[in-house]
Amino acid sequence: MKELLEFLAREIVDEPDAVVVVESSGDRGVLLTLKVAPDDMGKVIGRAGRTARAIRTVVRAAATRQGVSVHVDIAD
Amino acid sequence: MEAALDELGVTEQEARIEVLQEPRSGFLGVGSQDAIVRVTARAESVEAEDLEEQADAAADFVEEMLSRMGIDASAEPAIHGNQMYVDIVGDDEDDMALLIGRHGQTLEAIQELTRLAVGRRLDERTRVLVDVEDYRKRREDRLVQKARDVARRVAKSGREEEFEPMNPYERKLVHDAVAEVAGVESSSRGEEPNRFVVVRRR
Repeated sequence: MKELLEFLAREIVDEPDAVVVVESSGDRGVLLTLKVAPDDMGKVIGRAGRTARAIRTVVRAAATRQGVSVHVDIAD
Repeated sequence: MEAALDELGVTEQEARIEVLQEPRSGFLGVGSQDAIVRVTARAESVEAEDLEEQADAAADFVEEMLSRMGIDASAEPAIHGNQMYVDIVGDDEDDMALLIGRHGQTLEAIQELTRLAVGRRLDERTRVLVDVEDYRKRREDRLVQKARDVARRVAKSGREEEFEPMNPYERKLVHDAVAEVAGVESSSRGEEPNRFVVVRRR
């Protein structure tokens, strides 16, 4: 899941090298925290949060398949 | 303007954009006015070569994404007329259903990310459509058929009819289908994401 999120984020930002995903486990499943370059924040969030929603939807679909619960956080 | 481009289903290069009114900020909000732009679709669009390049880039992205999702499927690029498609094809029905998601939500998300990724890879806007086992195409065929039926009914009865809320691309399909029926016209009402098409007698 971490690798998928890293891939998706790197594909849409201007500074792919600055993309970092930290994985931790909480009581409600896996928590993935996405960090990108400050100038790329708008890119991963998108107009009215559209891009962030799309990223979460795809990551969640992949997680469902593996029977795990994943939450994606975007760190600012 | 982006909303207008979405509605027309064209990219910036395929549209003619005229500024009819410059925006003015006014004083303390008094006398401010929004910009008004007219966006019209240009008949001739991007070169076929560009479309092929975009379709290939889109298929690449989708395949890489699928492999990271652990899904065994391929992404096949195709161009029909002026429209690029990437159709995801796989044998596992559960996986294909997962990629479509409830009401096609996951498919929409995949398409959104594909457009962004291709846009960044090739540095141009793209309106590639991503489909899973022709799910979208079948749905669109049904939608166009329904739009024709409704338009004919309105032409006869004179009673206005509303469609359920749809995304800009689907609204465009409905507008186009309605336009082919004489004596009726359509427009969109409401705010995203609940914007819907209304058909009335002209």
